[in-house]
Amino acid sequence: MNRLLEFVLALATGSRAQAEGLLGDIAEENSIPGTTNALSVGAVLAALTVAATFAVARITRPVHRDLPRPGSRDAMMTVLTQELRSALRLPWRAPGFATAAVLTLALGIGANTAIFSLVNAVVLRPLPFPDSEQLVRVWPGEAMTKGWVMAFENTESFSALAGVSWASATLSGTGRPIELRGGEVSEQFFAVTGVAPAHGRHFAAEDHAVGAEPTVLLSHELWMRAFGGDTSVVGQLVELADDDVGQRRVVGVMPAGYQPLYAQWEFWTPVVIDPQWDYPGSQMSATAWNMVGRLRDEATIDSATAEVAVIGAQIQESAPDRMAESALARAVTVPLLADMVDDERQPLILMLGAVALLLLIACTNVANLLLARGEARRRELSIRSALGASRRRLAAQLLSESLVLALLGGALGVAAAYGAIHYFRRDLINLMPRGGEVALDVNTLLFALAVSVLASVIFGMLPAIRAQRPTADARHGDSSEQRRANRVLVAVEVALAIVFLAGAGLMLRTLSAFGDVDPGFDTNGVVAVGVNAVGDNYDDPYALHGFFVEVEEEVAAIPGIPAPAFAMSLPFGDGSWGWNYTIDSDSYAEGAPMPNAGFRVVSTSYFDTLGIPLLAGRLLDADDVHGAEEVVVVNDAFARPHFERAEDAVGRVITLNTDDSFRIVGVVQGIRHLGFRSDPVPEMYRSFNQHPTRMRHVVARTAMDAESLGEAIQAVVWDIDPDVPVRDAITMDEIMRTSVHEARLFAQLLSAFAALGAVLAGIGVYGVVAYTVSRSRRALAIRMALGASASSVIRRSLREALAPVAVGAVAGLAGAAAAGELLASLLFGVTPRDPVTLAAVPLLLIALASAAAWLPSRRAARVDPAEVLRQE
Amino acid sequence: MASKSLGEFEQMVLLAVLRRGDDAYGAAVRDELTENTSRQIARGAMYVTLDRLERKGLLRSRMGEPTPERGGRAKRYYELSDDGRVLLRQAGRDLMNLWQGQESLIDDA
Repeated sequence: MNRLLEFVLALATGSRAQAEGLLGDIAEENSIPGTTNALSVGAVLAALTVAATFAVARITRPVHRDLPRPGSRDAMMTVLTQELRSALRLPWRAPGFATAAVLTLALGIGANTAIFSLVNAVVLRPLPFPDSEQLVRVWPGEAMTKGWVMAFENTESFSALAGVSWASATLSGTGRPIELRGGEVSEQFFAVTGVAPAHGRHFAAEDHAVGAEPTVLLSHELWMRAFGGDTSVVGQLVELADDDVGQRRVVGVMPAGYQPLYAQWEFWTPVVIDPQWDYPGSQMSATAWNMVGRLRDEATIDSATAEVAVIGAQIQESAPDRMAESALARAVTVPLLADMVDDERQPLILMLGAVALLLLIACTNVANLLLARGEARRRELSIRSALGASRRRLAAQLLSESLVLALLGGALGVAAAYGAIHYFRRDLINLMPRGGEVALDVNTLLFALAVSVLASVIFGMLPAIRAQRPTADARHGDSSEQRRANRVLVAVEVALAIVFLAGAGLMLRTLSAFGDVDPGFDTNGVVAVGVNAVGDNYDDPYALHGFFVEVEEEVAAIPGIPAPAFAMSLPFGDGSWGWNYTIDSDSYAEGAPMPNAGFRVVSTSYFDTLGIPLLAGRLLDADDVHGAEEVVVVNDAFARPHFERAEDAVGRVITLNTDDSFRIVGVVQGIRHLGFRSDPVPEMYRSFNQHPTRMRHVVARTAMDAESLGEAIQAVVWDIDPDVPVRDAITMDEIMRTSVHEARLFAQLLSAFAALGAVLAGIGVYGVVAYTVSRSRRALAIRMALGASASSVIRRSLREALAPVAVGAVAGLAGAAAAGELLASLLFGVTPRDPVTLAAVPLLLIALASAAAWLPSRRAARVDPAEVLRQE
Repeated sequence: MASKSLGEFEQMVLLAVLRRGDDAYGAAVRDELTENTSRQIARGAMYVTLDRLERKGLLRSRMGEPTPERGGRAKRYYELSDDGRVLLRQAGRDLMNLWQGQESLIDDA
């Protein structure tokens, strides 16, 4: 900070010694006793004020025009510095014009800087690991087996390759039990990322052996939070329990911020691979693992993909009778960074496109401002020209002024971007991987500088070219060339405005559609609290059942909670396991895919509590107990493909591919579990009484606020078992909002940019049209003097003004249709070529342009023609 | 140069530098001005004026030793050049001449 201030001061004063003396004085005057080097806020502000005073003093100092010999190098430099210094005084000479131009440009450049900083942080910046460009993901992965590990032990492409899978656990013994998310990793994992633990050690080969003592590595964040950063925890046993293990020994702590997959994991455990699992698919929970690797120096993505395919084929051959196909045979190797941010790429590119268009509009508007001002400056330029200034020199002058405007706009834009990034940082962390790393770094500042210079060229070109003919006489009105330039400007502005308005329209309709969608049940007042019965005590289904029955009774006794229910998984939040099934033992053609449905376990009151309507048959009830006939309730999405009417499903028997059979007793309405964008998927509900699983959520409809309900349920649960973790309460409305959070935020951002662009373009269209019409006042006056009526003159001028508007509208419609296609994946409840939007937007703009043309021509028509002709 | 003349604030700054003698660096000059005048002295205006007077050749400056309370930064000391002395002397004389006989205006207050 000190050095930066000193640099700024040196720049403003033009002397490093001056800057040092100054900053020393300020430090002395503002020094806080006991501190030596740090500058207070007051001191920083004082230094900046002094710098600003110097800058103003230097800029307003008169320019001495002692020209060196023409044509020499010195002469060119002198010309350049003179023009730049003279341009620097522009904001003081024409403050109104400069303010309008700088603000417009700040908007455009600021939006571009902000979005680029996001793209830079998420897509462009390398991952924070040594030689991170060598990191890859192999996809799809495969179950971790001994055979797998051996097959990959010596490859030509990978210096290390590891499997990694999601894990969850409960930490107790450090206050209230907390649920944690982490990763289960194979031996090479830390070799892949190349990061050493901050304390302790990595997993060794012994930690992965069958029968080894269970171990764990902690994240820095968990270590600080749960163990207060105490290094003595390394080597200790901690109560980190999951379904298989009760305690683990801490072998180390990873450095702060270590998150290779941006999953916000809090611990890592070593996967233990039973040598009996010698081929893929032999492991009981044969879920595919994520495979991450580090390429050797000489290896390429292609060579790695080829080698993985060969190994996949070998694994497959080793067990031809037991597995149909190794996923690895068709796996591809992709750079880890590209894989991680794959989903973010398209929305980010769309936003970059939107802000680039926004900048184009801003440039068009400023070009228009410059043209209008150019008329007023014609006299000044003519005089300079008459005094011997070359055309090139005049163009240099105008371009210098453009550059100064753009740089001022850029500086303001960067400040605005900085503010926006800080304002949105919290959202960004949750929105996308690496979102929290957004910052204004050197790359972003260089980008802002480049954009500013580019913008100055775009909007400064037309006025500079026009200045090449400074002798044109204003008295004769615009030349045909100038009129052509204006018409082009009008058409471009209109086209851009239509693209933006249409985009804003589509995004706004998407936002409102999010609010209108029917989730399939009544979310009003529904609150969920996570209760996770883990640990050895609940391995027994009867114990598990007993625990939840007791919790249900106690919760029902809390005043204000009429009907608590339990569910294994919540709507929107969690997925459900899919199972293949047959109905009434129907046979399916060989090779045809069996139907598949999700599976949820709920308590009997679940449907009433959530207000899920019953369509046929009955709900699960108290008679569906252990020992009675096994029953399920299905949703309409399940019934529809098989039965004409919902009633027809009732009484039929479903057989899963596990050979378990259930009778369908009822059909309920489907819930959009997978989010707003998808229709309800086929699902079955089983009763908790017949199938005691580890329930995770208490659900209740209540008038209480979520927080006090959460505390009440916590108290009840911990009264029964203090070792069961209870999460904070969350309302169903909040869960729904979260499920569309990303789509909603992108929609909001895009509609904000689009609205901004539309306003700018609207102002631009109005400005250009009004300016063009007012330029032809003389022509109007002559026509009227020759006997034309006021109304015919106005009609004519409207016709002339609207011709380029129509051209722009047609081009804009084509652009809007194309933009709609690009937006398609972000839209909801509206089609990309929404006829209402596409019809309304051009009409709106034509109305705007008509008003812009009509007002000045009516004014012109009212004035006495002789008056106008004398004035001009 | 004939065109050289002193503004009121320039005179005050030159006088403050003169009064401070060997200890005339920015912060001290500002103290001198604040203590002996009824003005609020804007820091930026004073430094710009010091800079301008140096450019006009009325002041000279040199860098002193760094001190810890200044964060290890050196002081920039100012002193009047010969031109500066001549011009200030002239300005002072002009003012005193004009004031002669009008002292009651000051004493009344």
